[in-house]
Amino acid sequence: METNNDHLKNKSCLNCGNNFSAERITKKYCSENCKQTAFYKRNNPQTFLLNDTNELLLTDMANHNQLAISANDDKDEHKNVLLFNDTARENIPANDKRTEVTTDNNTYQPVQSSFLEAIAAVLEEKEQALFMLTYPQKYWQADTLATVKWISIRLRNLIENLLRFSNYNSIDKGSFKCMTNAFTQLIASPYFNRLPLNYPFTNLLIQLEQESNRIAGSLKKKSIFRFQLSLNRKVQLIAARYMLAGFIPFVKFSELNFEK
Amino acid sequence: MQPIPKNNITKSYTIPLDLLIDILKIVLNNNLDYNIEAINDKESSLLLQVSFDQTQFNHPKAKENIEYFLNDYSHFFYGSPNEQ
Repeated sequence: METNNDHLKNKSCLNCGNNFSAERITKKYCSENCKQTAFYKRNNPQTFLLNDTNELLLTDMANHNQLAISANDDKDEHKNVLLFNDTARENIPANDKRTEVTTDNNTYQPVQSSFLEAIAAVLEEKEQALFMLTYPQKYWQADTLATVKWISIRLRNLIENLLRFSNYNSIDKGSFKCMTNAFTQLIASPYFNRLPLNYPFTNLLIQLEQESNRIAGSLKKKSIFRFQLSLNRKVQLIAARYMLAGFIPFVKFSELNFEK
Repeated sequence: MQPIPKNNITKSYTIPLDLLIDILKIVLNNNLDYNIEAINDKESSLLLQVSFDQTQFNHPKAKENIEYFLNDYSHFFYGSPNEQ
């Protein structure tokens, strides 16, 4: 009888329907190609075309560039063609619902992690942002991309520090203030003012700067303190770090200049 | 912890605080033998030793459940979308 873990080993790709073995509970697609295709289906239905070789052509409405994504290896070549009618949607495999808990004594009753599922939910909600960071050249010109990378490298470092601090039993005020100053310098930097409007982490950066300054201001004479993140904020930061990690490398705090 | 029978596999896991409740649910729901070997107070994690009886139908599934959680956590906390 299928259990939650068997289902993870034989998951159905939400795009092509093929079975694949998932390494992670939250994995939905069998390949990067299917993931991209599904994203475009959801977000740009009017731009899907099919060429003579059954390749999906994605026309960028703004730049009239064309990206060719090969159709998946599927015996039914037309399965991926009819994309935005209801028939196509009916062909999409059922979502990876967890096995229902039964009272059968021989059925393993799986435990779900609300924490991990919350992270996956945020990533799903921020899918557009993840796509932008995966294909940044599609969204930003070279000089804008340089600004975005400059900010993102520093933001990733600060997020990783916040997450690290939140796992410590106590941290010293000096380290936290150092990080707070870095947030302030980052927002005051000319690069921050040049960020494009569609940069996905602008509001997060502003919120983190304000909150860290508020906490630093409240410490007064304390030399060490316990720093904690709310569950929602921690989930948000883990998701942001994860997305940034696919875009820019990690650079040590000591190697970064936050002003210029 | 009782002496370990031959059919048992014993594994030690570093459990972050974020996953502690979920993993303890798995351990307790499935009557797994466990032992807290160490607590890392600085990094808010603990080292949990769990014994799985291969002859019990649910123990291998519980082991997978625990390991999927830890893999997912590690992937989100330390990995990137490039590592599928």
